[in-house]
Amino acid sequence: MDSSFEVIKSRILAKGQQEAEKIIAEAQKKAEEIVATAQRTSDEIVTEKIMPQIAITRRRILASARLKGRTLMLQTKNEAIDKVFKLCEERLRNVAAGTDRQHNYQELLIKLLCEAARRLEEHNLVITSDQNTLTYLKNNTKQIEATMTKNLGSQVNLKIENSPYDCIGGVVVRNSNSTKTFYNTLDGRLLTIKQTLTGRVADILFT
Amino acid sequence: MSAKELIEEEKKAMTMAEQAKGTAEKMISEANEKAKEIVNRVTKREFLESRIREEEERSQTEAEAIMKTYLAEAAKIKQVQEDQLQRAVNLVLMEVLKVG
Repeated sequence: MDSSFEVIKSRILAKGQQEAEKIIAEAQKKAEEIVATAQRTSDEIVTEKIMPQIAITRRRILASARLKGRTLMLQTKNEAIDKVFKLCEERLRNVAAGTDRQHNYQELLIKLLCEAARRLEEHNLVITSDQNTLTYLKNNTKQIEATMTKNLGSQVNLKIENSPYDCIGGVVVRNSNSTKTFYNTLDGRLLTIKQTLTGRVADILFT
Repeated sequence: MSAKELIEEEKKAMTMAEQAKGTAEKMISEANEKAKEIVNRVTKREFLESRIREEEERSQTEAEAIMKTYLAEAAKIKQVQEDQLQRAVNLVLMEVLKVG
């Protein structure tokens, strides 16, 4: 009798213990779920709201660096290309000064004048150029007219202006009533060539 | 042996359950607090700012590496060989002086 009473007592306590453990276990599970849910919410906030802003920041910084780098490359290439055209300008000054052994400026002038005459379709021409070229043209007008007449196959008359034109060399040619002008200066030609030849110059320099 | 004793035991068992309930409530309450903290942390401006600062530092390092590459490339371009330069100059001169 005593022993069965003890059994009943211990069962009551065990039941209480079990219930308490069940309550704690359920609470533990629920607590874990609450924290896990919060963590998921937090992750979602990070993914949906924070990561895009971080990505924007990253893109901005890297794009800015790449743009800066590409600008630097373009500037460097342009400087190298400009150097070529500066050297060409120096060479053209030498040509016009008659100090370039590879080119005869006087022959070049005849060609430039003939080209201008053909383009203008005129034979009475008014010419200007830099001071040195003007002096040469004035001193050799008759001889130049004769050569041009021979080259073009019809009589050419030249009038050399007194006022010089600011250029390296070459000629500015107009017809007698100034309705047509052809700029055949060396710097003008260089400038025109620069627009069309920059790509090929870049190929030579950078490939 | 008496019913009184059994009632006492029953009370003890109930107390154990009650205590467990109290502990459970505390656990849930703490979990709720922790959850609140977890969510609050990422919704605070400081968190965003600190993450952006971290990313800025990381990206800045990458940006410096990118710039280094471009600078090296630019340095190479600056060292154009003399013969390449002369070839380019001759090409341009030939075209300028080619009078048709």
